[in-house]
Amino acid sequence: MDAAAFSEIRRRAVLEGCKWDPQVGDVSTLARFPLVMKASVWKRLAFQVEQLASEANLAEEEISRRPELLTELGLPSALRRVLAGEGPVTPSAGHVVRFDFHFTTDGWKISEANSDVPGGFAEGSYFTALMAEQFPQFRSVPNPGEIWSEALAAAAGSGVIALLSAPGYMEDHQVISFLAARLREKGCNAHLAKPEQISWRDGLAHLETAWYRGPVAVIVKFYQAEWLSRLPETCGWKYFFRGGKTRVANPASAIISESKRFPLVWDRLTVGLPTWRALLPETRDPREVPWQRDDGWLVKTAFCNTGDTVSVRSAMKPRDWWWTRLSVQLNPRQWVAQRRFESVPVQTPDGPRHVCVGIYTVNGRAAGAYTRLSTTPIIDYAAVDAALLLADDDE
Amino acid sequence: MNKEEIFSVWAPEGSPWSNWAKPVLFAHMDAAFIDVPQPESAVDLNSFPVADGKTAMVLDLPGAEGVQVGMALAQQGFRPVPLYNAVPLPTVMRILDAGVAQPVAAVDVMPIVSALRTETERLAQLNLPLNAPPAFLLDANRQGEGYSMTPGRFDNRSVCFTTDFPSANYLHTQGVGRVVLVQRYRTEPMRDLAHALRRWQDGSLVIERMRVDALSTPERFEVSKPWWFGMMFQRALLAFGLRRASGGGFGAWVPTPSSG
Repeated sequence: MDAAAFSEIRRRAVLEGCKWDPQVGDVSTLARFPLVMKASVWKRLAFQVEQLASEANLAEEEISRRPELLTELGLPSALRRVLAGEGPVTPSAGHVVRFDFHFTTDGWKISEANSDVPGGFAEGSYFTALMAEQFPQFRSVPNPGEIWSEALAAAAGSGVIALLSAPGYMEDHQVISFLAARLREKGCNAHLAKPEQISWRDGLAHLETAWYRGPVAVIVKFYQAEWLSRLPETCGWKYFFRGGKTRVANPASAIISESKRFPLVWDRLTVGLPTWRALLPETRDPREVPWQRDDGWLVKTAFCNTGDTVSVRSAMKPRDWWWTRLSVQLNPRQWVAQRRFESVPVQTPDGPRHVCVGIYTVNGRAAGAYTRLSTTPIIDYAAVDAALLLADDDE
Repeated sequence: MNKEEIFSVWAPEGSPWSNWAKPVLFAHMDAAFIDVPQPESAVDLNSFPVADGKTAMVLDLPGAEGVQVGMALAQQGFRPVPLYNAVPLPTVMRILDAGVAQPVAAVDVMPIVSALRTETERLAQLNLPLNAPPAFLLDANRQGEGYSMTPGRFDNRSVCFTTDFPSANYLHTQGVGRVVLVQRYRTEPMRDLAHALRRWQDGSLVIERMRVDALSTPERFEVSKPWWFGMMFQRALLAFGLRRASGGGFGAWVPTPSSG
């Protein structure tokens, strides 16, 4: 793309699209070119994510009723107790999930589902739309930010929406700022806050801040469930999961498929997960497989949100690998071992790049994508964001 | 000027430092924001390094003082590069009264927003060469140090990461071999910034420091290795202090960002 045109896109993305981390170290994190996928491939992947979402939903329902399975997921004990407890589950305001697909020697595979706090809406929506304008010969995938904010707005009606994130994390602030901006465009009253600023009265959430005090119709919890459970009990964090009457997104059950140890309980479920089994590499408890000496395995934490704990011996410094081994040995229930797949890089104007296409579902329906490119097979916070566009199959 | 034009002045096309300029404050430069008058910073520039192309500055100064000193250095040939990274407000409600706006956020960055806006025209008129050496601007108040966090405030405290800066390699390729840290009221670098300085030091850059509140000239110093320096999850580890530590697996003494 013409340098001036891309510069304009970058400027609009950072100033209007809440893309506030366009540079990580020496890496510019916005790709100057789109990733183009055949429309037929997209159609197939979109179908698969809807299957994945449906299967996960059924599995989460069953696991929620079976406390003995919750213990396998690496959840903090306080959270596990609440999930296994009595009383009505807090109602859901909707559920957005992102399934991360990688192009491998065995075709498209998923590495994980981001069920609890998936990000990437600004990149998958605003930035992608700007790039699409430059490539009229290609089609856009659905706009995830638009679809998710539509769903939230519908859930809130005319009520206030509180979007919660952890202080100090710009990556998270920009996600909820982007969603808040889209919600305001739809006429919603959206506020950024942190979980401690929600008070619960008779199960109803109220925002208690210097700029707004009053009831909340919908809470968007961009705050990992396992963190919430480590807040003081006086914060009323349990109501985000159980006993609340205010609608919360994502729902409490999302933490189940968010856990990278979710596959460890599949064989004990009555529901089948054929799509998951077909797309997710073999996943085992680290005590069962020779991950320490076999490079065919990687290990990662049960709640590995940004890819930072994905650990592969051959890709690590000896000291980091030593710490990983120690941690897995000390806390094996908080780690998982997964068969590595062989990611196939695609040729780009910047050279070969590994591809991760994170495809969203919103309330079970495919809803666009957040695409990242990396020089290494591991996709982490330093990966480059790319727009995903579609080409008709005869092009 | 609108915010696009303002950002273009602070992060001009073609400058080797523009990619690092943080956009968040510029994104909030709505026309309805009120300019907040700031006291002038009385800094004696005689003791500052000259813009010889081999020296980069890191101004870790409270509030809008970083912009003021940055502008003074711009007149000496440095290019100020804003690295402010805090969301100013929790809503886009128009701020009609500075007296109301200020207490809303834990770290009041509105004076910085105002200073950046006010100084834009003057910076543009300086016509700095694109390759002018950088003066990175940070808010020394970013972590809300010494601030008692009241429950209703918008918690916009922030930290800086090594990845917020160019690498030592990049600085070397631009001819920079020396970095001077400028602070007020403190000599040691803040804990988050120490990581970046240490990496630069390890990358064979000379690190010096000076204070604006005392008659001081740059002095070379050794950046000691910060706690957990060099660990895989340094980005996450750096942020401790903003959040209580959590248990969990390796790398989870403090949470990593939620965004998956």
